[in-house]
Amino acid sequence: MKITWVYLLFFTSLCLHAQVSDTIDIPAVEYRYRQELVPLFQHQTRTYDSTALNLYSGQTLSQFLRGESHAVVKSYGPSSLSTVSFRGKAPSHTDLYWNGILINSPLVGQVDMNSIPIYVINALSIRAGNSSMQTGSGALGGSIALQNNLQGLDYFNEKSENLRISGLAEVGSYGKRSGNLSYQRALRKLNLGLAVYHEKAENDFEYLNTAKRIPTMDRQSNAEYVKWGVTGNVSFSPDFIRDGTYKDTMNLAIWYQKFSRQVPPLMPDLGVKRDENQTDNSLRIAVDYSFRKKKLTHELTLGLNAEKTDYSLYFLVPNQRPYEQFKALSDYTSAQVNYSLKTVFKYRHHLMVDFRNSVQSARYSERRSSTDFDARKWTSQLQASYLYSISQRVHTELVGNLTSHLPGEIQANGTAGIFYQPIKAETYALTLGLELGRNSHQPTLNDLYWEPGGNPDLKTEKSLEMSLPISYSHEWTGNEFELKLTPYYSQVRDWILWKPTKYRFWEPSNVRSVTSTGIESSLGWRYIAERFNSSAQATYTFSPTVETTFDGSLQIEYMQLPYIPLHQLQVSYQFYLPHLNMDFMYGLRFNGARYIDAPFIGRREVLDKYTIHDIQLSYNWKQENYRSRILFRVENLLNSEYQSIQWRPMPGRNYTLSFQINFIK
Amino acid sequence: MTKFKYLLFFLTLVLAASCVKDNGDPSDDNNGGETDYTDKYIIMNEGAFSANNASLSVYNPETEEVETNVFKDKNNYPLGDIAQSMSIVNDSLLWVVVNNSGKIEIVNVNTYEAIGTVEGLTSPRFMISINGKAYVSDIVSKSLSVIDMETLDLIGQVPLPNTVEHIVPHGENEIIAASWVSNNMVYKIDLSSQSVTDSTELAYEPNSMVYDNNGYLWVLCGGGYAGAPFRENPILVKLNPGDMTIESTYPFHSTDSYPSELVYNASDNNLYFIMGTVGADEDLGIYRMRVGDTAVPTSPFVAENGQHAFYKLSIDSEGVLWATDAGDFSSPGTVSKINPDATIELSFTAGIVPSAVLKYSR
Repeated sequence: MKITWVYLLFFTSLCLHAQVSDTIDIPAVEYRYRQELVPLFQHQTRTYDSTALNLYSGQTLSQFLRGESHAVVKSYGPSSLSTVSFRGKAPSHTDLYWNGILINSPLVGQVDMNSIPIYVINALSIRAGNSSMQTGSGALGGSIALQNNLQGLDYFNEKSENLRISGLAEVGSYGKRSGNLSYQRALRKLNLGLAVYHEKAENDFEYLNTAKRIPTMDRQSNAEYVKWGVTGNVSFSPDFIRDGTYKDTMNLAIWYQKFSRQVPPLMPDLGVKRDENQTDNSLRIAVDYSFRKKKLTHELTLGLNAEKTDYSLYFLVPNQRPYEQFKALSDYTSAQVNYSLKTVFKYRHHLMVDFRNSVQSARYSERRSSTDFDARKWTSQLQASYLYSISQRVHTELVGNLTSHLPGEIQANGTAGIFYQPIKAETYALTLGLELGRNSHQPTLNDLYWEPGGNPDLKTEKSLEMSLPISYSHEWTGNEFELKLTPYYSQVRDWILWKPTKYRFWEPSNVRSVTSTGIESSLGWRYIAERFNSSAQATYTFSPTVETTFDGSLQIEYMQLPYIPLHQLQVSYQFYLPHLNMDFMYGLRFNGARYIDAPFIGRREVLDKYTIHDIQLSYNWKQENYRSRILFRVENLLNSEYQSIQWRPMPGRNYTLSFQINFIK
Repeated sequence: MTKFKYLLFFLTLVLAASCVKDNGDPSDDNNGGETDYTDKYIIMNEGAFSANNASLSVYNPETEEVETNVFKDKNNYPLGDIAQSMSIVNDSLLWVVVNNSGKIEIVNVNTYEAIGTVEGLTSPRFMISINGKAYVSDIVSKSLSVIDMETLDLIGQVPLPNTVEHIVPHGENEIIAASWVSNNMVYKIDLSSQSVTDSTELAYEPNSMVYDNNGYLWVLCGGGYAGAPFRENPILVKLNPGDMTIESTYPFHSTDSYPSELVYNASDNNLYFIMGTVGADEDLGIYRMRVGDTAVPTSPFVAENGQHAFYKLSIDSEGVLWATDAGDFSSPGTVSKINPDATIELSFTAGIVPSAVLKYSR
C-alpha cells in the first residue's frame, strides 16, 4: 500500500509539472549506435534503438523479443522463467551480452529474459546463427547484445542536451505498479548517469483452468513479484580531439538488481498450497577503455557478472509446520577480460583481433538432500576477423576463432561469407549472400559438476551452419521498403541432454544430433509524410527442427522437436499523426501449434496455436524543457486463452497506463 | 517498372518458402477414440515431473495394439502430474493416485470416463481400501488421509510420527506403513483408535513391501539415497506382521547397491526387485529370489546389458511379471512381459514413464 502511494504521489507531481502544450516529439530519443567495424555482419544483425525499445517501456526483454524477433520465446508466465532460442537450438545456445560482457549464468548457461526490464536497455542487437561469431564463439543459436549507456548527451554540441532527468510511472492490471527515475549529465570530460527502477505486481490474473474435470475460471495464486534495481554510468574522456570525438574514453557501467518472486503452481492446482519462492540478486559491472591512435583502435573491457539465487519450496500442510521440500542456494561469479584491436587499411581491408578470457566460478547447495558442489572454469578465445571489399558490389568476410576451456582441448571455429549486390541503384538494391560457419558451445558448470550426475567427460557441442541471406530494399516517394530472407541449414552434434542413469539419478551426455532447416523472413515498410507517418513490419519464421541419429541420417521425417513451432509470425503496424501528437501501434503475434513431448513414432501431444493482438495509443507533448508522454496499452485485446508452456496459464486482456516525463536542458 | 519486378520476384520467393511441405505440423494430429475389450492391460504412465502429462495406455492382447492417453481423450483434461499408483476398486473403478497434482482420479475402467476426483491431498502416494474407506499415504503430510469411497469426501487424517510411503492392510482394522523418506521405521496403525500401536526399526528407507503366501511381510530397505549422511547397506527384511518382529534379514553386498520395487509372485513364490548400482554394469537388472532362499541373489534374473533401464515392476492377476523401461523419461517408454525363463515375450511402447501394469478382465 505504501508503494502505491509513492507511485501516486510521483505520478501526480509529474502531472502538475506537465501542462499540455501543442508541440510534440518526445519519443524520438536519438541513439547513435557505435559504428561496427564489421559491417558485413550487420546483414544478419537486427538492431533496435531507444525509440523501438521505448514502445515496450515497463515490459521485459522476453516481451520485447516475442513481439519483435525470430526467437522462440518459452515463458512460464509473467514474471516466471522465460527463455529464448534461435533456429531450433537450446536456450543455452543463446548468449546475452550487456555492455559487452556475457551475462549468461555459467550454471545453466542461459538467462531468464523476464528478469531483464527494458528500463536498463538503450539499444539492442540480435545476431542469429553465424553472425553471433562477431562476439565470439559459443552462441550456436544466436546472441543478443544489450547496451546501457549515456545516450545522446554531448557537452560540445550546443544544440545537444547536456542534462536530462526522466521519470516513468506505470499502473496496470493485476496490481502492477512500476516506475523509474533517471538522471544524466554531460560535463566537459565526464558524463554521468544514474537510474533507479522499481516494479511490483500481484500477478493474480484469472484463467480458465482446463486441467480440471470441470473447467472453471480460477485465479492465479502465489505469483507476486517485486523487482528493483539501480544502474550507474560514468564516461570519462581525459583527452579529446577538436572535432568533438575522443581519442581515448573510459566507460564504467554498473547494474544491480534484486528480483523476488513467487513461483505459481502448475494447473490444475488442486493439492495442498505451496509456498514457492525465488530471489535473485545480481550485480554486473563493465569497465571499458578504448584508445585510438592513427588507424588502430584498442579496446579493453573488464567485466564482472555475479548472481546469488535463493530458491525454496514449502508445502503448507494443515496442522503441520510448513514442509520444506526444497531449499537451495546458488551463486556464481564470472570475471571477464576482453581486448580488441581494430584497424582499417587501404579502405578496403578491415581487420579486428580479439582476445577474450574469462573465469567462472559457482557454488550450489541444497539443504534437504545435502547436495552441493563448487566449480570453476576458465575460457580463452582468440579471434581474428578480416573483411575485404573486392569491389563496391562484392564483399567478403573471414573469421577465425580458437576457443579453449577444457584441459588440452582447443576448438577451431570460424565463418566465411561472401556478399554480392547484383543490383545497386540509388533507390533500390539487391544483396545476395552466402555464409558458412562452424561454432562450438561448452558444457555448463551444471552439466559438468552437478551433484549428483555432473559429467566432467562431456564433449563440446559443435555446430555447422550455412545460410543464404538475401535482401532487397527499395525507396520511392516517401516510402521505404525492405525485404529480408534468410534460408538456413544447421546441424548440432554432440548435443547435451540430461537422461536418467543406472544410478537412478540424471546425468548429461552427448547423445544426439539436431538438424534445423528453415527460413527467417521479414518485410518492412515505412511511409513518411507531413501529416502522417506510418510503418509496418512482418516477421515470419519457418523452422523445422528434427533430431537425427549420430551418423547424420534422419530417424524419421519431420520429428519436430518439442516447443519449437513450425510457423511463427509477428506483425506490427504503427502510425503517427504529427499534428495531433498521437501515436498508435497494433501488434499481432502468431505461434503455430507445438509438440510438447519428445519425438517418437506415434501420436504426440500438441499445444494449440494461438494469436494474440495488442494495441497501444500514446499522446506526446512538450512545454519548454519538459517533454511528456502518456501511453495506454491493451495486451491480448481479444482475451484469448493460451499457453506458452503447457499448463502454465497466461493472462487475458490486460491494461497498462503509463506516464513519462523528461526534463531536458 | 523494372524495379518492381524485383519486388515481385522476392514476394514470390517468400510465398514459395511458405509453401514447403510441412507434414510435421503438430496441428495435423488427431485424437484417438475409446476402446472396450474383454481382456486388456492398463498401463499407468507417471509422466514427467511438472509437465502434467501423466496418462493411461491400454494394451489389447488380441490385436497387440496400444491405445495411448485414453483418459485425456475421453475426458478432455489431463490425468495430472506424476501418476504414482493405481488400483481397481469394486471391479469397475480405477483409482489413480496423482502425486504432484494432490488428487485421486476415479475412472470407469471400461469407458475411461472420469467418475470423480478427490482433491485437496498434499502429496499422495499409495492407497488401500478397507471397509468402504480409502487410506492414502503421503510423502509430505505426516498422516494418512481417509476418504469416504461413496461420497469421495476427505473425511479425516490419521496422524503419524513421520511420513509414510508403501502401506498394506493387516486384517480389517490395521495398516502397516513403511516410512521411506530419510527414515527407517515401519509402523502398525490401528484404525479404530487412529494411532500407531507398534513399530519396528529396520535399515534406512524401506521403499516397498509385499506379503508372501505364508503371511510374512517382506520389506525392502534401500539404505538411503546416494550421498545421504545415513547411507547404509541395503537389506531385505522378513517381518512377522502380527507382532512386528523381524524373522530374518538379507543384507546386500555393499552400499553401492540400490535395490527397489519389490514385488511378489504368489504363483511361483518368488520375490522380484530391480537393482540399481554404482558398481559393475552387469549387476543392473531384475533380480529374483525364491522365498526360502538364505541370501539375496548375486546375479540378475534379467540383466539390463545396456539394452534396458528397468524402472518399475508389476505382477498381474495371472502371475505374469511386467517390467517398465522409462527410457529418457521425456519420451514414451516401453513395457515388457517377462517369462519365467527370463526371456522377454513381448514389448510395446506406452506413455511417458510407464510405471505400472494391471490386467483387467470383464
